[in-house]
Amino acid sequence: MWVLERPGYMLLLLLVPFLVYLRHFRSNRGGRIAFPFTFYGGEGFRAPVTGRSLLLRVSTLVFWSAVVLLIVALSGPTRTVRERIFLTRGLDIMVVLDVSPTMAARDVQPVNRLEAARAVVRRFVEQRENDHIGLVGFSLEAALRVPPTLNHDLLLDSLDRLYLMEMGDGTAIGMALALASLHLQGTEGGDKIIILLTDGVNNAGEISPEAAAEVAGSLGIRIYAIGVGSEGEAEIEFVNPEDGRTYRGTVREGYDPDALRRIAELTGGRFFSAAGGGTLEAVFNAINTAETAERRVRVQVHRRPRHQLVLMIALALLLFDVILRRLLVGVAP
Amino acid sequence: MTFLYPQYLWFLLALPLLGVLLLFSVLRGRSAIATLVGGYARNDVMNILTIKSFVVTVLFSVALSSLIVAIAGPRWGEVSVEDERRGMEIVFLVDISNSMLVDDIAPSRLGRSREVIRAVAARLPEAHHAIVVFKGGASVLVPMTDDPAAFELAVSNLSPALVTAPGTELSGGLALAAETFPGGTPRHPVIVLFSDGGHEEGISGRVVERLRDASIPVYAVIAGTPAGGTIPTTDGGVLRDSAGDPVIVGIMEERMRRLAEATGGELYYLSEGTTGNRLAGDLEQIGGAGAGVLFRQVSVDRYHLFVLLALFLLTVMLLIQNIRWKGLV
Repeated sequence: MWVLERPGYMLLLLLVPFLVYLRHFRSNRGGRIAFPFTFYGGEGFRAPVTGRSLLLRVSTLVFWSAVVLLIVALSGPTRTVRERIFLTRGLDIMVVLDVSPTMAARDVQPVNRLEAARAVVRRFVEQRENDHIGLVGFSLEAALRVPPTLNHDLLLDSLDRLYLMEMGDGTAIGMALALASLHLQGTEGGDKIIILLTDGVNNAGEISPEAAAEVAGSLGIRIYAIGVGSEGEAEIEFVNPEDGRTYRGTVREGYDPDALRRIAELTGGRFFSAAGGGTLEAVFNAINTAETAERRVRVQVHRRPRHQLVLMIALALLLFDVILRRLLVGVAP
Repeated sequence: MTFLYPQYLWFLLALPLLGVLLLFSVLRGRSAIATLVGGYARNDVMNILTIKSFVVTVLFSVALSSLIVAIAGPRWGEVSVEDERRGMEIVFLVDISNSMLVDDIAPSRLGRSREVIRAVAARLPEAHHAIVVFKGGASVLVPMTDDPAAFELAVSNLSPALVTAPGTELSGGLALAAETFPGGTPRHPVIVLFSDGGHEEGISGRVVERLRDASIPVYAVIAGTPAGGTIPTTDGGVLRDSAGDPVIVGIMEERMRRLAEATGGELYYLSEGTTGNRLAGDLEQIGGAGAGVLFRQVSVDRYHLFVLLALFLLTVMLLIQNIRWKGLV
């Protein structure tokens, strides 16, 4: 939105017509020679339209445009940008996402478990404007991808770059939960939660999921554990990043609902089972509704003065005018 | 009086050239009048033309000078405005080019930068921190966070190997650092830059303008000494030029100084032992730790006075041009 810092100066525009009259229309103003020749009973001379006269007209237009721009610049043209400032801190959330090969199972629409999880996490993040959100990826090992941050663009970019088997073949749920807890431990947020998305049972890492959950619970971190995938067999297809070959097969074993429920209950969180894309979406909606924080918002207006550009244009026009009028056409002052 | 954009004042040097051109046009006008009226050309007519031309030229030149000064952003005086922001968001922008491995400051420029970053972060535990590194390209090592574990991990990992593109492209680093502030928080954004100033490219004016628009000051820390030193290589030797002589890298502080001044920041020398304390102290003042209601002093922009002067002079110039001088002189 554009505003004027000193709109009163715009009244100076009222003087412009008077000055135009003074310069161009007032008779007996000197600076020109009147020829008293006319045809008898007819019209007087009309100056032919020449290149010089055209230049003079252009120069006149340029000069008065410059004057108008100077008045506009004087009025302080300013661009205002409104920014919503959150005065209260939201939640601190760590999304812990399984990227083991079984997440390639095609039993969850639209493509596979990982893509479905990626899509719902993306939508969830987009709704949590004021929450510090981080990301941990895990399979055989666990790695922090993004610490809890409000920089959600960077988080979503990192989420998009997660790929299957990037941390080997396995499911280190305990390690992932411990890592997420470590990075939530030092943050200032009052409410801290971990959202665990997995389709397997813990079979790697040196920390058991229960031990990690107890640590999280002692730090006041709630865990929402989501088991992804349907019961029974499911086809999988994925590209192994190590050799670039495509692997196809069938997954028979899924997550352990009892183990995940135990993890969640140890921390005061909840366990969800998501057999399909729609269910996963509903689970995230439920978490979104359950985990809310008071939001106090102030609108801050940032002012970006733009008079400098206007002044530069006016200066250029004035120079252009003097070059045209005085130097090219040769008009006397 | 200070100027926000002092570089525009150089345009004032072009005004004498304009004066000479206008003088040339006066001479041409006199010659034209002599041609028109021949022997009847009277001295008073010529005098009118000369005096009028002189006065108009002076008025026009002063008006243009005034406009140039207005464009340069003159400021004087200060007013207190209530500062609604609280706390800080600090992006540590670290030059990780190979020249930062020079050990003219123990243990090395990069090593000492690491120590100062840790010291500043420890003094400002309430602040949120991010680390952006740059060389031939720039990269966010850790986004804005208050997670001390992730921050410490990133500080420990600072090394030239983090970015493969060779060179020192500070503008890209500054632009990325500015994007690293997530927005929507009541915190003061600040960039703390560690570099020896050896940037091949100048700093983009557009980037500086953007930082200034967003009120992001750059606190620049010059890493290195004027005497400089050699760049160690992985084989234990030092980097040599094509003639086989060791490459000595000093510091180039002028760009860093200008950047700090243009954005409202400060300049520090990493070689001074008190730099960490001074930097942290200055940042604490911005963050307003412990204060209830903060006020900050803001310079008052006075460009409009110079525009008014220019408009007045142009108006007088028009009046002079259109008053009959015959009989007055």
